[in-house]
Amino acid sequence: MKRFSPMAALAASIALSVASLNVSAESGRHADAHIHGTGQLNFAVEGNQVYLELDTPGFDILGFETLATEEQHHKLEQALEQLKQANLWAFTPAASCSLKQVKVSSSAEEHDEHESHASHDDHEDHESHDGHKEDHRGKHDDDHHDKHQEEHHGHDADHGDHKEGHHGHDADHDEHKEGHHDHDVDHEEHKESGHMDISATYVYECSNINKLTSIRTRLFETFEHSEQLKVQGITSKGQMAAVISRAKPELEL
Amino acid sequence: MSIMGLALKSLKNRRATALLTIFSIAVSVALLLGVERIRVEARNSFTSTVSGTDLIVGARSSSLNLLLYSVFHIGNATNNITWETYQELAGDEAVKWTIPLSLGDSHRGYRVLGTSDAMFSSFQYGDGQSLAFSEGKPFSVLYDAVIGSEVAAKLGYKTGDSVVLSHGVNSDSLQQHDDKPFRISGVLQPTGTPLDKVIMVSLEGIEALHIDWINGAPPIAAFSISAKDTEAMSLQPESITAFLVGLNSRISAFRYQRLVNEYGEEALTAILPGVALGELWQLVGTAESALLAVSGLVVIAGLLGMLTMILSSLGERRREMAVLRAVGARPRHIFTLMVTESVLYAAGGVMLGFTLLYGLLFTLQPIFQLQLGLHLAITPPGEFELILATLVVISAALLGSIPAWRAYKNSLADGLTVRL
Repeated sequence: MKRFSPMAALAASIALSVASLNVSAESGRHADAHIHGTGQLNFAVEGNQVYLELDTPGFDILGFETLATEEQHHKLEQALEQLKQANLWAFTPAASCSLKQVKVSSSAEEHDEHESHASHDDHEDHESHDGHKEDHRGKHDDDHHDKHQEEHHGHDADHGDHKEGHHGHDADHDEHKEGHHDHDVDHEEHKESGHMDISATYVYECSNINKLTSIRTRLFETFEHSEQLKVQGITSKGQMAAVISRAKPELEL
Repeated sequence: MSIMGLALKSLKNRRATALLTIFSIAVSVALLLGVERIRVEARNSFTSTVSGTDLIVGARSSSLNLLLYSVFHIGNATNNITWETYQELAGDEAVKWTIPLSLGDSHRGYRVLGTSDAMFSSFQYGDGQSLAFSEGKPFSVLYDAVIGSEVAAKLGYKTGDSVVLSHGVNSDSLQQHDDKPFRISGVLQPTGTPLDKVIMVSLEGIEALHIDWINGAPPIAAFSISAKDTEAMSLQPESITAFLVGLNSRISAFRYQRLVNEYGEEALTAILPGVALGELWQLVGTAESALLAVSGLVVIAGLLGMLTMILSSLGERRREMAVLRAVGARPRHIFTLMVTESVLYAAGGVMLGFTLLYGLLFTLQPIFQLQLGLHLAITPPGEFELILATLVVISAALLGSIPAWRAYKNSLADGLTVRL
């Protein structure tokens, strides 16, 4: 496992793999930082809502990252189900917050899906992905802001899915990277990806949000391989950085 | 006569040593309070600079590096952002405003900042304040410049003056842009942010300065383009150093950050400035704690000095105690008297310490503002100060019980038969 500096981890914090977004194949290869034991948590408090984004290496949740056996698939599903539990996050009781929305996904899942509806055994298929994105991109370039913004509206509406999509690519990309190293152009056949990321987003609504002073997570109790989360937060008081860990699973706002 | 009155009278009798002891406690208390005050104010000053900015976007680098060079003008950019990319990212529907920043030139040690009108309409610092002019107005024509309060004060500039900018930011061997002088159109009010130390010109102005430069060198006379001709040319910048982003909604910050970090055409980084600062504080937190610990030890040294002073005076004061006993003081009165004396030292020291601190703050405030651009807010003592004051007095009382115990024992044993 390559170790990246924490700063690099932050810089490339969330999902990446925009390779498929690129017009030219030469530029825009990205590699996401992937540090076992360190996940990323983003949260924002706005209006009466608390919005949380969790993104962790699959290892932190599962203890493994490749899905070889039926049991491992089952464990992944189980873990995703656990991540959906409202009590994973605990807020100051006086704020009376309740879970309104939750979405979980793993890059492996998406990868599988991709595999199932497109046989990726040669370069051509991957290209078609690129082609699709190129079109999308083309519109950005041709048109002016109005159009551009509409496009982004589209992005917004199904943002979650897009993200998952990226994760899927992410997995693909990792393999391709290996290919690139050895043979400049040729993409090798797909192998099982080495890394998996698991992400989840939550929206909580609080009837008394002014009383919200802390967020506590049961993530570390629930998943024995998770160690710490780097936190970026935005509240009405401003932005904050913090680290929560197994030893200190609580965040003071 | 009350014990307090007795203690005061006794101290008055030894006023030279008593005053010195109080003064040494006062200095140590002022030091500790001052260190804490500067730490808090430095943080506030940094935080206030970026308080109105949701994100900063620059070339891919560490978040701290980007924060420091874009806003605080510490260090230099790793790369620039192309104008095209800036336009595309600024057009996102989540974006409320953007302020482009273009750095790289200087004037007599002060940075030149190329920016747009948005700096005057959208930038906010501190508690949501906008930039205000002490004289003049924002730049309106190509060769207009707006200067920060410190630049105006140090270099003695006012509106209407003309300045020649230099290429590069190192003070030696600078090439001068003397063919295209700028006219100062406005002077900003002090903000306590790095903007006090910049000369702001329009992005087009920066572009105009370099339009006829070839290979990083100024043009030879025959090929140079005059200031007047330049005005008629298209001056859209090719690139900017970084830009500040204000968003419509906080929640979109993470989506926008991801959009920028995953941007395919250029390797970019978007940071939440408050988060990057938080990381900086985590980094320097150890050094700060060390400094606080040292100042804390100085306070302890001050109190130990007091203890030494009282203990060593006990021998000389046997007669005093004996007289007190003779006029009816019980041993426990002697004990209380000695503890009261320590508390008086500490309370006097703390009060003098606060006076010293505020005296220093009032004296140093303008100097810090001018030299370091650090605005020291003078506020009444807060929780930290009150806790510290209480702690000092309580520790003094505890320490004072040591000589008090000695005096108590002595007074029991000596009676009136003191042999001196």
